[in-house]
Amino acid sequence: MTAVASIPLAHDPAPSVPQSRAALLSYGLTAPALIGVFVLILLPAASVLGLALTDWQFGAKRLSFIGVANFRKLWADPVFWKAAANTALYAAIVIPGTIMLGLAVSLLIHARSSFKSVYQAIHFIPVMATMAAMAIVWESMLHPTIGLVNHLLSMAGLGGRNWLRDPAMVLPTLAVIGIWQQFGFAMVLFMSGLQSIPKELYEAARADGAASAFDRFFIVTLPMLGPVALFIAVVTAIRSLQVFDTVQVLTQGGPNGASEVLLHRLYVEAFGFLRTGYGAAFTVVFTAAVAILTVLQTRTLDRRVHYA
Amino acid sequence: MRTPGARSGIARHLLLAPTAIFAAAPFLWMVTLSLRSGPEMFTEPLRLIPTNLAGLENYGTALREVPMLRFLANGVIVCGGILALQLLTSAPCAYALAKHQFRGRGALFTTVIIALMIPPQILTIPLFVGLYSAGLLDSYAALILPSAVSPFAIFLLTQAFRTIPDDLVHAARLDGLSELSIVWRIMVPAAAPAVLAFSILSIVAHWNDLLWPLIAIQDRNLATPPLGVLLFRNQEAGDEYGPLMASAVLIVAPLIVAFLAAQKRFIKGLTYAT
Amino acid sequence: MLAPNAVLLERDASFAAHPQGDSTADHAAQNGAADGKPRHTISLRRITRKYQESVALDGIDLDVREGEFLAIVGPSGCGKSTLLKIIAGLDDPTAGELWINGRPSIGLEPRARDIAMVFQTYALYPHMTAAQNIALPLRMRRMRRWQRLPGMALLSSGARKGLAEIKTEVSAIAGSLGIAHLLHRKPSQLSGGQRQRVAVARAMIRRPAVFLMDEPLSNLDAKLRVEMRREIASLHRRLGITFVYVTHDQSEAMTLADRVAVMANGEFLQVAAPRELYADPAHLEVARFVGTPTINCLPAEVTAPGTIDVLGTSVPCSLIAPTGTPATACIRPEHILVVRGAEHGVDASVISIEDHGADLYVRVLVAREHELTLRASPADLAGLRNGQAVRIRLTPENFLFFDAEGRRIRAGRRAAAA
Repeated sequence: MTAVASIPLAHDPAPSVPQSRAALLSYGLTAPALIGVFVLILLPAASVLGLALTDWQFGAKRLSFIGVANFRKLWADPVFWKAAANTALYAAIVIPGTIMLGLAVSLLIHARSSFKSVYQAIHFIPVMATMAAMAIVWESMLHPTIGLVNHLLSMAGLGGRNWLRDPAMVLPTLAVIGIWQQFGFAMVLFMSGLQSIPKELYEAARADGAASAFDRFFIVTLPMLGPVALFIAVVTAIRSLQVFDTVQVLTQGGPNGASEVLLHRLYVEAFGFLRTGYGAAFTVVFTAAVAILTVLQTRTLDRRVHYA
Repeated sequence: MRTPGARSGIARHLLLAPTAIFAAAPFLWMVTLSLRSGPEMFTEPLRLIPTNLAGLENYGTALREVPMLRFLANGVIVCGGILALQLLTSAPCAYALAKHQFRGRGALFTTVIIALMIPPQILTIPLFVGLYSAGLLDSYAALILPSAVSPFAIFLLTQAFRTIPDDLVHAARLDGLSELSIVWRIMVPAAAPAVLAFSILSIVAHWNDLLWPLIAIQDRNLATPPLGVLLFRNQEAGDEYGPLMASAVLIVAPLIVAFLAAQKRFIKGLTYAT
Repeated sequence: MLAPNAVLLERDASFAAHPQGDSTADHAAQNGAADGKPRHTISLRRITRKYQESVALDGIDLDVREGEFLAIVGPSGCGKSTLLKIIAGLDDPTAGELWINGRPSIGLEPRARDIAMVFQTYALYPHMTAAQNIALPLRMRRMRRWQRLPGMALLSSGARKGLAEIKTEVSAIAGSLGIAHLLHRKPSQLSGGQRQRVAVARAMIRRPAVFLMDEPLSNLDAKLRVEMRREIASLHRRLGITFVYVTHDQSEAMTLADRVAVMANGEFLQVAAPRELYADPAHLEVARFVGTPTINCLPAEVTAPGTIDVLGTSVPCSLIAPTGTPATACIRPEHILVVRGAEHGVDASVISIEDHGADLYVRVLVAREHELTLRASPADLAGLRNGQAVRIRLTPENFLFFDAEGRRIRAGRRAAAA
């Protein structure tokens, strides 16, 4: 798939519609979409910037322009930084976890053809399952006394923990759930990457002296999967930034902000406390972070496609 | 390559078993609990099959009283409405972008790409405020309208339409089709894989969305499945675990069944985004 | 039918200039306003198509007679497909006028013109069966919009009747083209030749006044191409309607057409019957384009008023130009003879001999710098070998002369009897 950033539209010889008909028709066809994009996407996005520069509270009659005061407040807000740090920590666990687990599973499934589609299906299902519902299921699995996890641990002789109420464990626990949901997606991408590695490369490696599968993995497989892994890393980073459902359902940011994350905090500020102006500033910062990652995503997508 | 031996085959299964269990465990747990009732609910966590079938009643309760039936219906209405509007607006636009020449075509396409890059979360506040001003909060419109136009659909369909030979359009014009007819009778069917891929993506994304319904809806009767099950859990925490798990099954099952029925298409659709 | 030919013949001497167009009144008269029957199915006047950086068509004039097979040939990029699209209504000219069956047609929707088109890539709708492809034009034309909505056949007897009629016509046409057994298949399940027939059927079912064909055979392999060529010719005979056929293959044009329009750089170089193009080309490009092997061309020079010198031979001609004006002299391979014995001729050496069975194509080097191809029967040239020295004669009456711009100069004495 072509990279988003490099679409040359100006030069392609589109078939000419007789000029007498052309313009009106074309504008008519594109009008609904164009209006929708403006009203539903571009205008709101622009207005957030404006809103962030005011002190408006939802429901208030008046607002005043306060410049960058909201941003200064954000900079000084310990809750914001805690949320940022938590989100970063969450991402730091989820990204490598997703990649490693996805890679491992894809290698195993790819190695033989038996039960390939069954394994693929099983590992991919968490990707599509409604996270809000599955979070509730995880909640019961993680229950300190009657939950499956602690039950299994006690069977193995290990003590259980209060996974969702222990400030030290809550974020890693959420991260594990995040990995659970996403590694199937990484697996699928890795599998298509594996399939596109030409067999001759392995033969060449063997001819060059790479005797064991281990060697071939490091000489051929891993480097060829590099771009895919990079792409997955960026996509996972974007999704980690956007984590919300599990936090909202399971912890609401608690205990004591131990699992507060950026998007959830944004929601609380803007729609809980109705500090709309402040929430808008939050949104601007959040969006900037996501936008940078999105640009990275299109860059790595380009390299993934053109690696060969 | 040497023929792989049986030993490595078994090792593969042994290694894939725990990861498969990791992936599947929550679903098994969910189904198991949904079939249990009464005192059995929290005993013997590892027992998969319940001793009696009283648990089936959980589903009845879920459908009627949660009320899951209502939430599922809302999900269908909202996802269907969103997809319909997205296709209705994006297909003609993509056709013009791909096959017509007009002033501003390049600018329009650039606009679409810019809109594509905007993360949806930035829109929550202004859309909320806007809908509030229009008096449309707490309605199906509030759930459907914000997603009615999809720049991604426009982008995807434009690329797909561009691969359709121009002569097909010429032949259709000669045969007497109007431009709109060409969009729906020729372009969309010819680009069916892309349309299908997008549809899958859109339905899955909106079926699973919690954030926006949480913001836009107060009336429980309008709740989509994720919001509905969350509301139920908040209300009945601890008491109605059976119906709660049954509700979760009811939400998750449609997508999973559809996935299993058309695995390849699904994966293609979800990874098309990349 | 001599008169129209004469009109066109007189034009070729000054072909670079645009011939004066008819006024609208003349045109109506020419198109038989008197007896009501149009003599020309298609008429173009001063058709020009400009783009921002280039000119695709430069003042095209053309009259296509009823029932004739007109081929438009030229190299890629010469503008022939653009011209076809303008006739079809898929493109509008920047300037000029167009009449189809006597109706002014610029700005008219393609479906309102009485034409049908077969495309190079056949342009069959991939998601429809052959039958549905063929039926579509009729469905669009005959059934009203609400009748065409999916499922209407169940509800409306009018829709059902219309569909049944269409089905009968589709079967009839498919039968006449030998594809009746393929009607339920989709295009991807058909071979190239079968797809082409479906495309032709879809065009035929509209019963148009004009058939437009845009390089329909170029996607087929050589053997199939020859076979389909014959089928197209027989189709033309059967239907008796006007065909306008665009191709870059000169042999296709020459074998199929009643008249051929040779096009280059957005203008017509000559519009005439194949034989005339071959024997009496109006332009150097036409002479070079038509005929296998390619015509031989030699540099020549005006040595005296009324005389051109080529390879040391002086030939009389009608060009009035100062002494020293350069020109090109061309001669067909079959008009170069190998002389024997003491006959007068030019010295040459044989470079290569191609044996084509009934013919030999012999390449010779003359005056150590000009390569010529000559064509003769093996009997005449028995024993000829590579490197051999021969003498050849270029029969002066067979020379075709062209001036520096490529326009034809006629040879022969001014007042000479034929």
